[in-house]
Order: sequence, then structure tokens, then C-alpha cells
Amino acid sequence: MTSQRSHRLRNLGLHIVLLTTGTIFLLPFVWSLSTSLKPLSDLFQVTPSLIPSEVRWENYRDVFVTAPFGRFYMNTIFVTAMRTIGQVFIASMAAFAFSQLHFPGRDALFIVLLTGLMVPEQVLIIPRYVIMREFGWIDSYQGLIIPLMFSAFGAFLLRQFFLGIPRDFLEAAKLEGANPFQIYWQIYVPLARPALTAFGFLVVLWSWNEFLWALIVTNRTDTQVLSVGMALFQGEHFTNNAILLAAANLATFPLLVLFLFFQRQLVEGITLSGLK
Amino acid sequence: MVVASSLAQVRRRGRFGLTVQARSEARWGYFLVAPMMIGFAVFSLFALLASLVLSLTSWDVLSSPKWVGLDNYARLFSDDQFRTALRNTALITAPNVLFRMIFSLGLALALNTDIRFRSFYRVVFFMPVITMPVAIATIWKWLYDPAFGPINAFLARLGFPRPEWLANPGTAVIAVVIVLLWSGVGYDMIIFLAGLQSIPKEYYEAAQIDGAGSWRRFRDITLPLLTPTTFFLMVIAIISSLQVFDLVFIMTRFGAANRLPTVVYYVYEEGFRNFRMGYAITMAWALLALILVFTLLQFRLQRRWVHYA
Amino acid sequence: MTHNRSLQSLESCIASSRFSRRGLIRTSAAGLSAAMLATLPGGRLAGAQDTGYGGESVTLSYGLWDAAQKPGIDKQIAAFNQQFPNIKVEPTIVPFDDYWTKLQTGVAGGQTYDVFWMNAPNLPVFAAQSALLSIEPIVGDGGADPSKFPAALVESYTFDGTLYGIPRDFDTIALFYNTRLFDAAGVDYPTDAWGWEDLRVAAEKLTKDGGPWGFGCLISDQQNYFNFIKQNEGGLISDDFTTCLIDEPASCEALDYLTQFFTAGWTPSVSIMQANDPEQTLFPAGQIAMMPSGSWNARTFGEADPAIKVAPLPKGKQRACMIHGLANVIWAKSPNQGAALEWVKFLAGEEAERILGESATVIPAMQGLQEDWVASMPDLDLQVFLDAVEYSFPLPSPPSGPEWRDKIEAVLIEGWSGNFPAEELCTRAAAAANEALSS
Repeated sequence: MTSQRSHRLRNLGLHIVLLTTGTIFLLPFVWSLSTSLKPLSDLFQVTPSLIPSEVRWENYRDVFVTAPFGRFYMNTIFVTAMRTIGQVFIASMAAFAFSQLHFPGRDALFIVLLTGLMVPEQVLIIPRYVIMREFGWIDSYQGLIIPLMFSAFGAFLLRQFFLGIPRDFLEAAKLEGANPFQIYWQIYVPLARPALTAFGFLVVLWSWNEFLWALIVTNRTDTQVLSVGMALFQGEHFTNNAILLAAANLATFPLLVLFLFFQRQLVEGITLSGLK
Repeated sequence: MVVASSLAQVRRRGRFGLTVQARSEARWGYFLVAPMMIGFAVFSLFALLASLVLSLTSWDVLSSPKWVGLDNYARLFSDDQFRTALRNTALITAPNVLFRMIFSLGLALALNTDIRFRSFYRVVFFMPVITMPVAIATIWKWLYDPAFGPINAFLARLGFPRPEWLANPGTAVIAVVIVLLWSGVGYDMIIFLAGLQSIPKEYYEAAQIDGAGSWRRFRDITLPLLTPTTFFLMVIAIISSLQVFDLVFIMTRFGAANRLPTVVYYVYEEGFRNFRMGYAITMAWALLALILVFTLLQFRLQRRWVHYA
Repeated sequence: MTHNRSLQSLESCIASSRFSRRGLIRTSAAGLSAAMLATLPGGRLAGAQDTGYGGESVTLSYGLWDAAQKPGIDKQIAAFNQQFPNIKVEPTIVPFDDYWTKLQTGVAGGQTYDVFWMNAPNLPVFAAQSALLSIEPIVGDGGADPSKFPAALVESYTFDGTLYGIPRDFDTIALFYNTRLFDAAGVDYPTDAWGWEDLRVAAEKLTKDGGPWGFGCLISDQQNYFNFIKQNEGGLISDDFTTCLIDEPASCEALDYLTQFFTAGWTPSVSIMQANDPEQTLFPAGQIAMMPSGSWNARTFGEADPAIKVAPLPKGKQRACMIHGLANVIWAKSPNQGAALEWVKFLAGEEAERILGESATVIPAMQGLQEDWVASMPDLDLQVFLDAVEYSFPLPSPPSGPEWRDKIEAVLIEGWSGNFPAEELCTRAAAAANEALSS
């Protein structure tokens, strides 16, 4: 009885902490929703108010009038899907080899791969751009997708997860005569599903908002993605933040929906692993 | 167990190409990492090596690079601005990495229980990752506003002095770290949650049968089995934190970018604004060397605390 | 890298007109310009306008950074296609900061826009590195006529005696003020007779503790301190661009004049202005009574508050303000140079400039086409921006780029924040700028 009460009391305390800190996490989101409905005259306030003086839904319509938003959506979805499939597949295969197989030069290769994460991308874009020109990939989907399909981040993340999987599985399968690809595909991929889903989701998120490379490698509207298309709402001297945020909200809405679905994947197993 | 250790011996000899089995495993290994390594070689390694050559030149981006040998590297050691940028970056990185690990792990643990509104909280703490940078920048600029912001209004009511937050190098570090934490913990929380998910339930079942209490299960199963994830997040947090740029740049365009230039900010400014790309790349390589040392050190130290199955 | 001063001043002569300034020889006869053009290096005989375009189907990429101008540009393209149906122009808009990153990557990587926007500070940088194509083939009878554009701007787009672009628009600086705050404080509105002392006195009267403030002393050279230095007949940079002159006594005096606004609290502090962009919030929200600002802000301010009006900048030893404008330039390695020249020629012509004026976004640079812009905001006396051309100075732009200005700004931010003694302001600023100019 007492333990249950203290349990409930602890939960109450937790709720209070989560709710108060949570407010500040939600604030920019709430603000961007409310600003996106504001008329122009509301934008010149020194202290941004949370409630628009009048609700202007037309801002959302203006987004579609100003920019070929549908095209941007299609491009973003396609590019993101391709990059995600590529990254998850390529990175998980490499992660399996880096974590479970033995071959000369393995650890050296892995560290070399990680150096790709250690240089600010600003200094790499010019050489990369030259490669794109040589390949004739400027303004193409290949140029948007293929250079960003190789994720050292993903290989490292998944390697760590694979290392957490007991080796008994590997040894047993080996004795049964399975080849390493079969072991990867039939044992490690299913076992690492939470990690693969999480990684896949993070790739979608990153790819959806990726800006610098998409900016550099595309010029034409047919190949532009949402993050780059936001430029159509930014003036040099004045930007109507209401319309810009309406566009930004429209752009991020699919991510929010996706996250709602995705986070359910992280629920199972809780009854057992929970802190009680 | 016997089989496993003998296999390990075979493997060890495999390095010298002795056994058929080891040779086959090595072939598979190369085959499976090939797509990644080929892609990496073409799109990153080439660019990396090209930039290493460019770091030996004076290059204004628009015309052909001129060979200067090690001049850029020599300049690095006498450049006060670079030293300042390095110090700022370190000042941001240390607290950012430490608190980011603590908060995101805490959140993940709290939200991995059967607490009510769990899904709602997860969405809330993940929101900054999804929210557009312009909304983030605007709100935080307002929160930190020395004259009209709510933080200073609150401090003033309590009778405290009103700090100038982003405009003062000392407080700017704190302000920037808070925003970095705020925007990063949700991301790490997701990876920790996936890590918690990946712990085989059999361990908990076995422990429960043994009569282990919740604290013991946490200490003996959850924590050790989460160390591979923790290790990953720590390495990545240090790598990304030492390259911090975007958020600091956006949020403090006119303020702390002047007061609190980080290394990558300086790289960007020298390369693309001041037309000294050769030197900018040199600084990027110095940063790479630093990050590499940290990373190798962490890989060396992981044996002491990371628990692999 | 050396500037051929005599050729440059020749260019200025050609370009001078009623827009001329600083006692340059007025050459009113258009015929003289044409005759002199024939002697320009790289220039062709006047009237011989062989762009090399033969009517083939071409797609031109066109880079720019202001989304607000997209509708006007679409109209310009439509009008251009009436004449050249086979040249497809594809505009790409990239926000200002990213624009330069993308442009430099494109130039370095060997594939970039055929035609793109250029500003004065970057023109010499790109021109010195041979990244731009001379537009002299299209200057002359029936083509682009530099004499119809403000001389100061044409000078900005001339490097080493070669013309690389015809200005498309321009902006000058004037004093915006909020009549409601003036009425509340019982202060007379600024007039064109105002001097520095009038500004100072009014700012003091208009300031209340904790805001609103009388004056917005912007951390901006173009909108603020360069104007005051020029009004005091102070120097900015030597003609050969090797030395910063901001430590001349007259320049120091101007900076000291502005410093007192901070020490007396008549302007929001540096940190407040950094947290709240005066152009986007403080001034349009009625927290600042007077602020020097560019013509590009007229629309924003007018829409934000009808109580906002505009007057000329107060006079110092002389009237002075900065003038700047953009130009369309051509990438030197563009595979479509002929078509690019046709497009740039069209943009420098009357029809394109008229369309720009009708779009009421920026001031079209061609002389005589500004009425549409002035008429677009009848509540504001926009004529003050046109009158300012008469006494305007171009932003000095060395081939080493705008770094020296960034350095001055960084020093002023520190100085006006009170982080070092005010007397050191101009010597420190000049030293920082000189370091940038010499490296």
C-alpha cells in the first residue's frame, strides 16, 4: 500500500517536472503555429504575442500561390525515401561486417570512415561539387540522392546495436552453415528492428530538412526540395514571417505525423523493462 | 563456449590468411562493407584528400590556388582568433556533452516506464528537433532579450541584475549551451529509447525469477547493456559539438557570432566571406585532427566501461 | 589588381549626367559619350552590337536573392521572350547569406549561373579574379547606355576600366521618423534644414528611460555611420584601397558624435539592438522615434505604421549619403554568352527598368523611371530618396572584399557597448580594417 502511494507520489513529481520543462519545449512550436495565422500588422511587435489579433488562414493559401509547393513535396518525399532506403541498407550491412566479422584492416577502415564525420561539410562542398559536374549530376535526382546515401553515422550507430546482440546467435547460425549475408539478413536485421526503425526515422528527419547540399546541387524548380524552396518566402530586406512560418509548418507537418506513428514502435517491452 | 573460443583462435590466425574459414569470412566482410566504403571513397574521401592538398595553398575560391606549403599551418599557431574560437568551442562542448548525456538518458528512462501520457511527453521533448530553425531562433532571441524578454523580467522582479545574455561572452556560453541542450536532448532520447528497446527481455525475465528488485535490474542489466548506445552518443555528441555552427549562427547572427565565434563559424567566415579558403580548410583539418584524437581516445577507453554482449 | 584610375574616371565622365556628383565634369552630350566609348579598351565600335547570339534555343540560369522581386522578374522574362522566344530564362532564388556560398562554389566548381545579381562590394572581388564577362559589347547605340544611370553606381560596376554590369536598381538613405512619438514629446518634425545639432537635441527630448528612444544608431555602415563620416567630410578608405582612413580627425569626429547617443542613452544599447532588430521590430513597433535607414525599408515601415514619415538625413559640413545598387552580371565561362548578353542588354533597357518600377519593390536605376516607385506609396515623401542621389557617395569596395567593413563593425560593436574607452574608437577601427586590407 505505502509503496504504491510513494510510487504515485513519485509519478506526480515526475509529471510536474515533465510538464514545466515540456512547456518550454513546445513554445516555439506553438508560437510558429500562432504566427502563421497572423496578419502582417501583428508582426512588428517587440514582444511576440501568442494570440493573433485576427486569424488569417489565407497565409496558408498564399504559400501555394507563391511557390510550387506540390512539386517541392513530391521531390522531398522521393529524395527522402531513396536516401533512407539506401542509408539503412548500406549502413546496416557495413555495421554488421564491422561488428561481427573479422577481416584484416577492419578497425582502420572503420576509423577512416568516421573521419568523414569530423570535417565541417562547408569545406567539402566545392570538391564534391566538382565531382557532380564531372558526373553530369548537377540538377538531377542522382546528384541529390546518391552522394548522401553513405552514412558513417548510421554505420557507427548500428554497429553499436549489433555489438549488443549476444554472439550465441551468430555462432549457432554459423554452425548451421548459414553464410554471413544470411546471418545478417535473417538474424541481425530482425533482432535490431528497434534500432533500424529509429535510425530510419532519424534519416527521414535529417533528409527532409537537409539544406546545404540540396542548395548547392540544384538550381531548377523541378528538382528543388522543400528546405531550399523556403527561399521563395524570404525577402532580402523584409520577410513576412507569417507566410514563411505557414510554409515551414506545412513542410514539417508530415514529420510530426510520422513521429506520432514512429514513437509507438518504442512502446513495446515496457511492461518488463520498466523502472518500477 | 569451447566452440566459440576455438573459433576465435581460428579467426586470429585468419589474419595471416591461413584457414579457409577465416578467408571466407574476410571476403564476406569486404563484400558487405564495399558499398559503404566505395561510396565514402568517391564522395567523401576524395573531397577530404583534395581539401588536404588545398590546405597547402592560398586560395580565394574564385581563381586558381597558389602553392604556399605549410604557411597556413604556421599561421594557425599565431592566430589569436583561431585560439579564441577554439576556446569558445571547448567551453560550449564540455557542458553540452555532459548535460546532454545526463538529460537525454534521464528522459529516456522516465519515458520508458508505464507513466501516463508517455506518448505525449515523447512528442513534446522531440518537438525542437522537428521545429523550423527560424521559429527556434525567434523564440530564444525573445526569451533572452535583455530589455523586453521574460527571463530578465523575471530576474528583475526577484531583484537580480539583468544579464545581457547573448551580448556578453560569459553569459552567451550559458545561453548557447541551454539552446543546444534544448534542441538536442529529444534526438538523443530517441536513440536511448531504441537502445532500451533492444535489451533482450529474457535478461529481465531471468532476473525477475532470481528475485532481483527494480534497482538491481536497472544497475545490473539496463545500465551495462545501454553502454554501447551511451558510447555512441557520447562520441557523436563530441564530434558534433566541436563542429557547432548552425544554431549559434542563426540565433546570434548579430550578437554572439561576434562575441562567441566557434571554430566552424570562423572556417565559414574565412572561406566564404573573406575569400581565404586555403586557410579555412587548414583550420578544418586542425579541427579534424583534434576530433580524431578525442575519438581514438574514447575508443581506447571504451574497453574500461562499455559492455558488449 | 592595380586600378587604372584614369580609365575609371573616364568611365565616370561617360556615365555622368544630372546624377553627377563631386564636381566631375558634366558631359551632357550623349554624342560625346558614344564617341568616347569607341576608345574604351575591349569596347567595340559604338553601335556594333554583336552579342554572338544566333537565335538558337538556349536555357539561361539567372541567380538572385530577393523573393520579393520574383513577380517583377517573371514579367521581365515574359517581355524578353517576346523578342527572344528561344531563350528560356530560369530564375533561381537563394537567400542572401547562402547566395554567396552557392555562387562561390559554382564558380570554383566550374558550373554556375549564366547571369546573376551582383552587389558593389563583391564586384571587384569577382572581376579581379576574371569570373565576370565584360559587357562592353552591348554598350552603345540601341544597347545599354551607362549615361542614363547614376554615375556613382556605374563607377561601382567598373573595374580596371572595364564595365561589368549596368545597375538595375539603387537605394539611398534618409531619416525615417515616427510622428506619434514626436507629437507625444512635443517636438517639431525633422525638415530638410536639420543639422547634426537638431538631431541631437530632438533625440534627447524624445528619449524616455527604458524606451522609447529618440534615435536608432544602427550598427550599419551603409545606413548609419558612413553617412555621418561623409557629411563631416571625413575619409573612409584611400583611393588605392590600401589604407583605411577612418582615423582621420573628421571621421573620428563623426564617430564621436554618434558615440554620445549611446553614452547618453538616446539610442537603444547595442545589446538591445542585437536582440531586437531595429529595422524589423524596434522602429516599426514605435520604440524608436528617428532612424536613418535605406529606401528599401520604406514599404515595410509604411505598412507597419502610417505614423511613420521620412525626411532627408540631417546636414553636416555637407550633405551626404551612401548610394548602392545591384547589377546583372555574366559569368565569364558561361557557355551561353551570346544569349546572356542579350538578356543583360534587355535588363539594362527601358522596358525592363519600367517593369521594375511598376513592381514597386526597388527603385529602378534608369534615370526618369522612378515616378512609379514614388507614386506607389503616396503617404511617404519618397522623393527625398531620389533627391539624395545628387549628393550620394558609392560604397567603397576594395578587391579584397567587404572584410574591412566587417572589422570596423566589430570594433564599433565593442566600443559602443562600452568595452573600451571611446577615444580609442576610430584608431582601433582603422587598425582592424587595415589588418584586413593588408592580408
